[in-house]
Amino acid sequence: MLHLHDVTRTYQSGSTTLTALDRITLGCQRGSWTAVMGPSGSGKSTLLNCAAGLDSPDTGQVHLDGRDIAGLGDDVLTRMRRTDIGFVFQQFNLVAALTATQNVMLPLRLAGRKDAGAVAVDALSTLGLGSHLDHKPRELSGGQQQRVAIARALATEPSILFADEPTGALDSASAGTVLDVLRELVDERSQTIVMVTHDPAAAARADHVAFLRDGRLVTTLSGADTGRIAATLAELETLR
Amino acid sequence: MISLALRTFADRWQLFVGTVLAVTAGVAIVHAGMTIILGVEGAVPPSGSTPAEAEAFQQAASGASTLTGMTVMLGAFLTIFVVGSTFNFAVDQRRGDLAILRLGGVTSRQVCRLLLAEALITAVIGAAVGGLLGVALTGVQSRILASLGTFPEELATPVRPAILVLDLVVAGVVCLAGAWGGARRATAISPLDALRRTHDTQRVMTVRRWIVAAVAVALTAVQTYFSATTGGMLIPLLLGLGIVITASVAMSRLSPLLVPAVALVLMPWARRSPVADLAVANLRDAIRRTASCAAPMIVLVSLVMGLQGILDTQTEASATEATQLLDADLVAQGEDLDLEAVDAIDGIALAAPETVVPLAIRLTSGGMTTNGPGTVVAVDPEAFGATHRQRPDSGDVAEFGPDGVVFGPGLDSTMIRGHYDEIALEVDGETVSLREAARMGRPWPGATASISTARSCRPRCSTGRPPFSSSWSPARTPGSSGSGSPRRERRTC
Repeated sequence: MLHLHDVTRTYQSGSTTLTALDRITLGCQRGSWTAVMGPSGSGKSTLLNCAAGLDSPDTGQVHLDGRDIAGLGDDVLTRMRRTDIGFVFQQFNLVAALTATQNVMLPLRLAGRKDAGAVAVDALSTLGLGSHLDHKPRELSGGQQQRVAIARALATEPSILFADEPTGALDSASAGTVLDVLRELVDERSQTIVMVTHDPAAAARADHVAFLRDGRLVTTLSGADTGRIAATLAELETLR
Repeated sequence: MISLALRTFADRWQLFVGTVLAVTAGVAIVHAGMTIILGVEGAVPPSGSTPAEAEAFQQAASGASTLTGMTVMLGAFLTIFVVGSTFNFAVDQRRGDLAILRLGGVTSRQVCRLLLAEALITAVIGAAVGGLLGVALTGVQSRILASLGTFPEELATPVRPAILVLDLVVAGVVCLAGAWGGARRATAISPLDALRRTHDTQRVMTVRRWIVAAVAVALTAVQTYFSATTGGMLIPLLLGLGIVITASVAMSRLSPLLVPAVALVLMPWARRSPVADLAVANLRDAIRRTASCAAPMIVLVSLVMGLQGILDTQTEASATEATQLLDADLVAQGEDLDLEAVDAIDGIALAAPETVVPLAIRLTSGGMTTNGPGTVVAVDPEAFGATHRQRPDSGDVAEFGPDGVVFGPGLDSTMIRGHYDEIALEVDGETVSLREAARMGRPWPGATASISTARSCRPRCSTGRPPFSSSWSPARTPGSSGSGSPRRERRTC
C-alpha cells in the first residue's frame, strides 16, 4: 500500500543543514494501522508529509498504491488529495465559512461527484453527527470537529488516511471516541491508516508502531500495549 | 468557486469591509466625474446668451471638465491602490484558510479563481452602493465647482443609464486589477502552510518588489528633472501629478523597510509605555501586515501633500512670472478700474491696461479651423511693448497695432505652430480678422499662456479661470466697438 524507500529530507537553516529524515525505509500494508512515534524533532511530521505527497523528499522513493508520488506535479497531487488520500490533523483544519455538511462535500464536489450531498450526510450520520449537519465548525466541540474532519477525509473513500496527532487537541473522552472510530474503519472497512502521535495510549490502538529518532527509523513494534510503547519511547528520550 | 466565494464573503465579511468601502468611494468619484464630464461635453450655452456669455459658459465648462478629469484619474488610481493593499492584507490573513482548501484538493488555479470571484462580489456591491453615492456626489461636486466659477450653473447633470453601466465596469476593473496581485501570490500557498504553526516566513522584500520600487524611483527622478526644466502650465502640472503617483508607488513598495525604520526611531519614546512598546514591536515584527496597512495611507498623504505642493508651486510660479516678465512698479487688479483716473495720478508714468476677454480666437490653417489655446487678453499695444521685457521668438512687438495679435507669453511651439491662413475674433457678432505681429514663445517655466489683442481691454490671467464676472455693462475702452462693452477687471501697470 505505502512504501518509503531510502527517503531523505533536509532543510536549510541559515548556514546549517538539518536532516529531518535520514534514509528512512518503511512499509505499511493495506488495511493496517501504523503509528509513528518519537521524541520532538525526530522527523515524525516530516515523514507523514513526505508519505502523503505534501512534501518532496530530497532522495528516495515514496510508493503509494504502486505509484511513485515523490516526483509528481502539484496538480496531480492535488487531484490525488481529492480521491486517494485523506487527512486528519490535530487542528482539524475545517473551512470556517462552511457548515459540517459543506466541509465534507468539498472534496466530493471538487472530484465531480453528483451525490456529494447524500454521501456527506451519510458520513456524518455514521459518525454520530446527524444533528449537527448545518453547524459551522465554531459551533461544534473539539471532538465533533475532529469527527467532521474524519468524515471529510473518508467521504471520498481514499486508499490511505494520514492522521497527524488526531487526538492532540481533544479531551480524553473525545480522544477515545475518535480512536474508536479509526479502529472501526480499519476493522470493518480495511482502511489503511498512518498516524503520528506522541500518546502511547493512542499508539497502542494501532497494529504497528514505528519509532523515529533524529530522522532515523530505530525500531518497530507490533501488537504492543501501552506500557511497552511508553517504555520504548522513554528509552529513546533518554538516549538523546 | 462562486458559491464558496459567497460563503466566504458572508462569513469573513470583516476582511472585505475596507475593500468594499474603497470601491464604493472610487465608483462614486468616477460616477460623479463622468456625469459632469459628459454633461459639459457638447453642452451649449443657454438660448439668448451674448457671445461673451457663451464664451464664458464654454470656458467654465472646459474648466470643469479638466478639473473633474483630474479628480477621476486620481480617484481611480487611489481606489486601485487601496483595493490592492486590502486584498493583499486579506490573503495574508487567510493564508491558513487557503492552505486548508489546498489540502482538501483545491488546486492553486482554483484558489486564484476563488479570490477573483470574491473580487467580483466586492465589485457588484461597490458598484451598487457607489452608484447611489455617486448620484449624490454629482450634486455636491457641481455646487463646489460652480462656487469656484468653473462650472456653468445652468448645466444639468441628469442620471444616465450609461454611467450606471460604467459604474459596474469600473468597479469590476478596479477590483480585478487590485485583487490580481494577491490572487497570484495566493497560488504559491502550499498545503503544508495549513500545518505549520508559524506562518509568513516568506521574505517580504521580494525581487519583484525591489524592481517595481527601483523603476518607480527612477521615473520619479526623471519626471522631477523635466518638471524643473519644462515651461508652460500644463506639462509641469501633468509631470507633477506623475511625480506624486510614482513617488507614492515607490514609497509603498518600500514600506516594509520604511515602516520598521520609523518604528525604530520611535522606540526611545515607546519604551516609556508598555502599550506603546508593544505597538512598536508589532510594527517591527509583522512587516507584511504593517506594510499592507501603511501603503494606502502613504499614497493618500502623498497625493494630498503633493497636489497641494503642485498648486502652491504653480501659484508661486505665476506670481514670479508676473514680476519677471513685467517692467512695472505696481500691478493693480480689480473690477471697473477707472484708467483715466489712474493716468492722472502724480508719479504714474504709464498705465498699461490688460483685460481678459471671454472670447475665443479662431485659427485657420490648411482649411482646418481650430480655437486658439490659452486666453484672450486685450491690451494697449504701445503700453504692452513698453512694459513687457520678453523678446519675441518671431515677429516684432513694434508691429503690434490695432487689429493685431501677439501670441504668448507662455504659448510654446506645441500650442502655436506653423503659419495661419486666417486669425479671427468674434466680437459682438462681428468677425474681425487679426494680423499676427509676434510670437513670444515660452520664456520661463510657469509662464502663463495668453493671446494679446489690441481689440479691447481685459486683464491678463492664467489659463482656465477668468477673474471676471460674466455679466456685461457698457463702458468705454480704447479700441472697443462701444456697443455692449463688458464690465471688466482691469490691471494696470
